[in-house]
Amino acid sequence: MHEVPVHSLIGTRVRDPRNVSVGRIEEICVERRDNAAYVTEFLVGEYGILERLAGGALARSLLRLVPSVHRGRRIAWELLDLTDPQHPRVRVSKDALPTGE
Amino acid sequence: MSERLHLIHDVLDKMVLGRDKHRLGRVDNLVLEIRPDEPPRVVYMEMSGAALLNRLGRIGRATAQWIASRGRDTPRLPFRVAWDLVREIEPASVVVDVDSASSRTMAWERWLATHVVSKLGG
Amino acid sequence: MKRILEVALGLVTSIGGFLEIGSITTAAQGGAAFTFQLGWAVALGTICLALLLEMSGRLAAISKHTIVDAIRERFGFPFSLFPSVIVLVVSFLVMASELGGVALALQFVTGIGIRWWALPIAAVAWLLLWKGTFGMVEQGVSLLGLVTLVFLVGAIKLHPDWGAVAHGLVPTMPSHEPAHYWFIAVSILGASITPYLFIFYSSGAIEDKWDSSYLPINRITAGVGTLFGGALSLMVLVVAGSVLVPRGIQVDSVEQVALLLTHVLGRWGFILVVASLAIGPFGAVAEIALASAYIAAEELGWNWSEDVAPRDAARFSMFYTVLVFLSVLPIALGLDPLKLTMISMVLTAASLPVSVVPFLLLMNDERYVKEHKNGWIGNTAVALIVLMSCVLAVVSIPLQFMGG
Repeated sequence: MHEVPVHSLIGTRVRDPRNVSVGRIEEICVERRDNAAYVTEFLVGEYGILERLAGGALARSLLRLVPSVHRGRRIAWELLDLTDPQHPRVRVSKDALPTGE
Repeated sequence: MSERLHLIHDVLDKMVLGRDKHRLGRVDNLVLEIRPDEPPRVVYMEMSGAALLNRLGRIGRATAQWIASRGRDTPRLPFRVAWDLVREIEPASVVVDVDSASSRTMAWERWLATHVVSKLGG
Repeated sequence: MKRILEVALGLVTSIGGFLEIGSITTAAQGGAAFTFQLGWAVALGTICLALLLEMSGRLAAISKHTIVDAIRERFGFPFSLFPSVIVLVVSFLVMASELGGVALALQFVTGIGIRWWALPIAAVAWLLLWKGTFGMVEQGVSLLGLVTLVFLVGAIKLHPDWGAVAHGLVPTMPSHEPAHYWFIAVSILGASITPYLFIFYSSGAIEDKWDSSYLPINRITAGVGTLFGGALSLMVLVVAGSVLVPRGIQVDSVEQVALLLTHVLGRWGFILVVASLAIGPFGAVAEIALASAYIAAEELGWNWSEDVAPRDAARFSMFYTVLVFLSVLPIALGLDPLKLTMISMVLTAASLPVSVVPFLLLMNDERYVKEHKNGWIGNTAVALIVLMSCVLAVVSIPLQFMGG
């Protein structure tokens, strides 16, 4: 068991077993039950250079004005290996991940 | 009954109110507990300058560590509220079961009020 | 009945609180150098400000967030810190220039140098903030600021060529000294569209607990009130153009502004203009200090309100206290108030994109403004403002050295 600050996960690049980049963690979905909040899935996006230039949240906002540019993936909690939080790895290939938010 | 949330959109950076609905601060960071074979869970909200500095990259983190360890053997942790004290997540704020009058996050506020503001007739 | 009174008070506040040292001196410089040719800059700046104020009121009334609060929440801390710090720094310079304006007005009356006046003025402004309420700060000084209507009276009595004034509302290329022309245009725009104004406005709407029922009042106060206030600023330009151009006088000191209406209104012209130079900027000092404290408190999650005792919002109160007294330093150290005013107005224009871009995104986010999103006119107008601000940001700094 270890603790991970959320800010260190956001924007971290996720790779699949073939080392293909899936994108960067943009959002963490949780479910509140009995005074606790359990992660259900991670939302990963591909914003490339815009994210680095404009700051992640602003890039997401700008890109939401142009919907076709946004391609996100949803990663269920059990598919994401956070043993090394700086280098999270998804346990299946990128193509096997569902898209959308 | 369960409720689905997005941590970044619905919780992070939101205003935090105590049980008396006074402002305590903002959700400056959240901490997840990673557990083997179980879903990660949110364990704390952090509310402090150190938590903010940690979000400003390497220089921010180094500054936060330096401040936290000044005059101490072990660095002081940022102020944390356990997640199980969260009562409501409203559109504009997060309400926690904490008494704002005695909370550590209000220490500077209380010190200024007592030692400076009151002396200036405020 | 209560709402009618609120509208009336809001209108009066917008008119009486519009003119301050930046808008007076930049309009006067514009009139003295280019007669009525820069009327378009005053008009454009006023329209832009009216739109931004209406948007900030709408955001507060619907989302129950101030601008800074919403930017922090929506875009996250690392991003939100950037506009907050930029606006704080620029606002501090504007506050120092406003304090200098008040000090100059008092120097005219008493003969005592401005360096000696800086601290007492700051102390009185601080006392108003410390002991007063939001209403007193916003409305009290603005009601006194109705003295600035003297510029309207003076302009009418000067019988300018109103056709030429109207022609000046259309942007034209300068007839001479283009660098100086565009520099003053940038300054006029920066004097009109100062970020602290719409940040103050949204915080005020939260202080006054606005909800969706205030949207019509918001439109009238922000829209109509600001347009009337901007018309006063135009009258300063008209007066300067009518009085100074025939005499070949350029405005390079605030003293020349004080004498603008003595020819047509005699001794009372001098007294009322000096009063305008004192009251308007004094109100601005208090408002900017308060707006800066709002920015810090909302960014960092402190308790804030001007309507509670300072001890109940200690960090907020101490922030504006420190700021008000720090703003004494530039004037006490001998910086020229007019130069400080021009520099701070140009820097304001240069920094506008930083605060306006996230604001525009918020005004199109249903999660904040629900069905009250910006229409295409509002979006286009603000987008043009941002584009104009970006262009001005690029050209204003070298213009500072060429034309300033």
